Amino acid sequence: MINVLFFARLKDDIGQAGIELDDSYAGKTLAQIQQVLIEQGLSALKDDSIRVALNKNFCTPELVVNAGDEVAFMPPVTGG
Amino acid sequence: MISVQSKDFDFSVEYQQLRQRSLQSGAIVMFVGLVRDFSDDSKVSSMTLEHYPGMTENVLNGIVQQAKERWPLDAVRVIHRVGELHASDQIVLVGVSSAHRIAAYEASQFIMDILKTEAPFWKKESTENIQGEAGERWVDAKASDSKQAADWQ
Repeated sequence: MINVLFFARLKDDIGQAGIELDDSYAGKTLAQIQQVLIEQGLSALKDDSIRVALNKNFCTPELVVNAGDEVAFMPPVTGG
Repeated sequence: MISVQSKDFDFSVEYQQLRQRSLQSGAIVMFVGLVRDFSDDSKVSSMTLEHYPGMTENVLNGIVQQAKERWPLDAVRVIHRVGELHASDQIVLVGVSSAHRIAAYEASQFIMDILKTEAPFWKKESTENIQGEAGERWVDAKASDSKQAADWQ
């Protein structure tokens, strides 16, 4: 399983806090997973300002996702 | 030491604890951020802070580590609140001690500037417009905050 999480505005727009993808998605990059989810109807992910994290670290969309990983899509942060 | 918590914090207790961890220091700088009650054209009645548990703590620890590599710091304290907050509530505390004031001033500003653009917190405001209508909106990130953080690169 790959656990995919959505935060803040993305969570509201998509209507859920996350989804689970089966291991057939392992080996894809974060960018490819984002694209697949957009094609499945999660149009909120079509946004250049989105930042991605892999296993709780910000990273570039070229990184490859493995089975058991946690992926997060986040809007720009607004704390402080 | 970092904390992400819903409960409020006591500035004087945090100051005394930081002082106890800083017996060789010559300077302590403490910054506290407060919730403002106006944003754009409507009154903010409350706000809710969401975060990414686990990643938030990783990022904050990373920022403190970067600050310690850049300046000779004795101790660092960061508290960030989450959950529902109201106007004038305390939202964030950064405390830094060092032998000299310049390092303490600069490191505390660095920690806040990087926190604002890297730590995974999001503010949702509950607003009331001049007609008294209630609404909710996610706060947009500010370009000025990104510039402020980029200036430390």
